[in-house]
Amino acid sequence: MSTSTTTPSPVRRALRRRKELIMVAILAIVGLTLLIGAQTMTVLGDSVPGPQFVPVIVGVLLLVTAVAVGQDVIRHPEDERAEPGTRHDVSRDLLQDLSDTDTAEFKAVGTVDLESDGPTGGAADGKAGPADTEAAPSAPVASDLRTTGFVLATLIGFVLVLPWAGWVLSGAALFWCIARALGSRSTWMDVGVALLISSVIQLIFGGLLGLSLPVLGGGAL
Amino acid sequence: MEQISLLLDGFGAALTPYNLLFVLIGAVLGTAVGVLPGLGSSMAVALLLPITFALDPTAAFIMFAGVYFGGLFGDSTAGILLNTPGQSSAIASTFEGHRMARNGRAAVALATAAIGAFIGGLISTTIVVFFSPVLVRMATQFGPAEYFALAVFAFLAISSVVSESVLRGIGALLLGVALALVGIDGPSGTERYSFGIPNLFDGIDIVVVTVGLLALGEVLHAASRIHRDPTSISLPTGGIAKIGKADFRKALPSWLRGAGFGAPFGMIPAGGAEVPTFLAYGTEKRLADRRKDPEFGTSGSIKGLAAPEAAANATAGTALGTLLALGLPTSATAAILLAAFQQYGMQPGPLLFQRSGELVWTLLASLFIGLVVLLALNMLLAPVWARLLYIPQHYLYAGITVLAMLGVYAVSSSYVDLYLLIGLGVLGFLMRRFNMPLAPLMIGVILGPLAETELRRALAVSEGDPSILVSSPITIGVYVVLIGIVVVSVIQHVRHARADRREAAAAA
Repeated sequence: MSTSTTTPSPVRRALRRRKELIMVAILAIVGLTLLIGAQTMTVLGDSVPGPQFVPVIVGVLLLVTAVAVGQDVIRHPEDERAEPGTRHDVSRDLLQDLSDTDTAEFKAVGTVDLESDGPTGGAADGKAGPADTEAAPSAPVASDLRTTGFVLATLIGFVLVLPWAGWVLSGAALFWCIARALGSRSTWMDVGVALLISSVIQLIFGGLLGLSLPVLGGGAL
Repeated sequence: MEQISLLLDGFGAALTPYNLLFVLIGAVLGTAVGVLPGLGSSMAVALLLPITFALDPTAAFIMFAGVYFGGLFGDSTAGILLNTPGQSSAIASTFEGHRMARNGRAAVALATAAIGAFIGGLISTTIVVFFSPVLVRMATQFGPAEYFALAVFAFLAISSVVSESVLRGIGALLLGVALALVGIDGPSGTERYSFGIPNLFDGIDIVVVTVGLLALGEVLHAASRIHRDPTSISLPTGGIAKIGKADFRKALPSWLRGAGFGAPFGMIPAGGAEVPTFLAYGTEKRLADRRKDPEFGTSGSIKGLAAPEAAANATAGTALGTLLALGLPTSATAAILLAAFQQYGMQPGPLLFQRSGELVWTLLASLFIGLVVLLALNMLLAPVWARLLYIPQHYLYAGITVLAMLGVYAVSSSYVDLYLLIGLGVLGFLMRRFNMPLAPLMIGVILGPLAETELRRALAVSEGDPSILVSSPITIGVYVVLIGIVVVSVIQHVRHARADRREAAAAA
């Protein structure tokens, strides 16, 4: 990832390995917002506990969590922790204990390998599956921010254009841009598919279900 | 046994062409999203939620239930054929299932998975039919303190079980609770965190949150890695799913054991099917070690596939039962279903059985019908489902994006909500990117308001004395079990961290 020709300053390098601090910042900002809002709220009624009670608790807990996660991120930069095949939605530790599987076996799931057919060895003893050999800490960490940025810009553009261009055109444009961004190379076929999908939606939802979708030249709501 | 006559009435109501159509639509959609990696039943229900407003609630819920079950039928297909499980509930099935497929037994593996899912669902739905009145009676004993305890239990159990890091799980949970605080506070009428934007007075619509985090977040995440891991897939050729008598007999005990693991877990808010599927897989593995089964871990054991498949669907059945009877969601999908009930102005729980009894029993009856439909679809059409894997990823994600925008526009016709949707999509992307789990956030958003209401109600009754929260045997029991779970989970994480460090030191 950091293969630029000029060596970046140590601070920047340290930050680059700790991008997760964005999450810490989000936690802290939300926590602070809750606390400040609770102080400045115009409270109606005199119920005890009042409407600020829970926001204060959640706000304090958010700040505590932010500090704790921040400490973890600073101590263990991302590339130390990241492993190929990491899934964000499961606790590998717990599941491994429940199922007696070892790390390599667990990580091998999700890698498309149809050709490696060798004897996969026993469950617990040493093995060098395809997942192990390429366990370089770079693969999952890098992300393609240019594509993500383009998709994001498309989404915002869609919302801006929707009231003026109407559903059929802006929906088709949205479809086309996303498909393009995600690697489609057949321009005219995409145009066809996009128009087909947005028109079918217009017919089903606008026509059959009576949802009023924006029309061409409709103007702001 | 009044349940049987109620259920028969339910069958009468469910067996209309109109309702059967939605059973079928739900089953087809559910299997499809299950098969496709990257989509899950929770995302599918979230995307369907806004566009089903035109339907009557019974038809909508029949369809949602079909999606929930269907996702668990379909999720093992890609796991077996390609080693890429469609949802995390199929990871455990993938271990042995993919080994079987590599050794030329893909058809048997697909059949084992489908029948396992059917048996698991059948057993747990039957349990729900006979057990739900007990749950309902139990729930009528619950006061504010008990409900608050259950909500806290769900919060912490999900945060610590589902996440790779307990801290990040709790962070996600708190973000969810914070999002739910936006809008006018019910009891006092105070305006909270709406920053003067009229659209936010009613709070952030749950549809916007779920669609943004689950659907748009996934699209942005896919965009960030689309050029990184290019995979061209080639499916092993195989006919329809079929299984011989000998294999059937071999798998039967494992199916039953798996269902036995899954059913109780549907009632515990532990994040869904992951824990029971791995528990079932681990048990089969230990049994195989004892029996010196040579297939396990090499050419693929049918038992190691049968048990987790049955376990996964068994959790779905009892999770639905718990949701209906207690109003407590035990998985992310169940949480979104709860949101769906609220959209229709219904609150699951004991009152639902009284007020909307007809809907409940029609829904339960249609679960049985749905299971039969799903079994048929998955046994006969397995090759067709596998073909879905050839749909180009870019069309898939473009379609999801269009549906997400359409859905949110359909609910509110508001451009503010569309921007909010994009913002939440970015949050979902960042959370995926930095390994923060999404399930706790979902539970936080949906159970947060309930927890707050019950907590304030309990404290108002006791005039501020917090000891009311631990004053009944039920609450004390819930908290004791909860502390046990959290302690075990923390010990586990610490032990694994230590083992990893030792490994790293040895390698260096």
